[in-house]
Amino acid sequence: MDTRQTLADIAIKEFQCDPEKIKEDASIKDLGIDSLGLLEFIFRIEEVFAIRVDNEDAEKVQTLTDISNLVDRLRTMAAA
Amino acid sequence: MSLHDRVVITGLGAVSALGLGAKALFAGSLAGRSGIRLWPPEAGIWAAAPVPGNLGPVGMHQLPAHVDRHVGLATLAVREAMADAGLENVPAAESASTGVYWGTGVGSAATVEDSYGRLHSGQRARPLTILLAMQNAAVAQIALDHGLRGPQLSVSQACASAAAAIGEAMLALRWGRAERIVVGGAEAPLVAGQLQAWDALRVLAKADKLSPEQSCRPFDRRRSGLVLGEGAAALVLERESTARRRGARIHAELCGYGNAGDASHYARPDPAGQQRAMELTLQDPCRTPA
Repeated sequence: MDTRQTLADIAIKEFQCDPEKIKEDASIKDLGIDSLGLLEFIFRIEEVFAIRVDNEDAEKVQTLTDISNLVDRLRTMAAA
Repeated sequence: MSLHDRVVITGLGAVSALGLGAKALFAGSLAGRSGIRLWPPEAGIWAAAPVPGNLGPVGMHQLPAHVDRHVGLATLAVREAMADAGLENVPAAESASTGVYWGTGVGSAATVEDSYGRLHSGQRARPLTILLAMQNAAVAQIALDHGLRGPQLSVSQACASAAAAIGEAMLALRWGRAERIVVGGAEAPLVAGQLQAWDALRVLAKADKLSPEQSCRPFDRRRSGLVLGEGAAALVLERESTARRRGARIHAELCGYGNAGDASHYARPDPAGQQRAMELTLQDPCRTPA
């Protein structure tokens, strides 16, 4: 499962984000996801990738790339 | 601003089993139409008065996903009332003097039920469960929807929730706490847990399978109880001077409010308490025409 593509799919299909902005790697905020929306977004990716994001990490993410990197790190840790 | 300003109604909105809009509710009531049907549609266990499916708050413009159904219904009614009052866009200068007083008895029934469903099936609670289930969820959403930063109050007083919200708003307007307050109430209790709990209280009407729309029969010897419904109704209340200044159309004046308790029983009203509430309303000093 390609992390980046999966995140983009969720953002577009479930959070009605503009596909063009996702290509530009805009900030989460610019994608139209506010702080509460980000809680829902992280909740969703925790389910999809079977990971748990702690509060400290959740506070730091600002772009889709940040989330993608975080997911990859947590999946690697889970697999190790 | 006069401290003796009257309080007037300048906007009306409703969504009910009789349709979308205050006019649909009024016309349907006058025509004696019933919005009661078997519920849920596929099982037909109970008699209930749901808002017709195609008129509900699903996919509404600028309504956040996952808000409770009663909040969605409230938003629909308030948008109509604000448009009726000519206040689709509240001027920024009037935002802080425009408040929201809203009533709900049950509140976020579907959100709470969904949360318990997840709990008992080993799933985690959704991230916004607390925010969406708060008893003031409708107030928060209405204020956000229209940019209202005046005084806010969530009233939960069983069947009198919206009436108390309206009355308290009238008093607040008289006191000059705000120039305008959006008021009303919303309920959306047609979920299994609520229906079962009301049924357990032995107060629900038996569903008339042949004529479901006649399941509610007050004052009839065949009556068997009450029928739960869902919906919302909203009014825009303004100080008369504020309404006149902007040339608003005035539907009516709100000129009395009484609030009395029974201290007798959870569910069976004491007529003496009702009488005192009505007497207090009639004794309202502003009721006498100037």
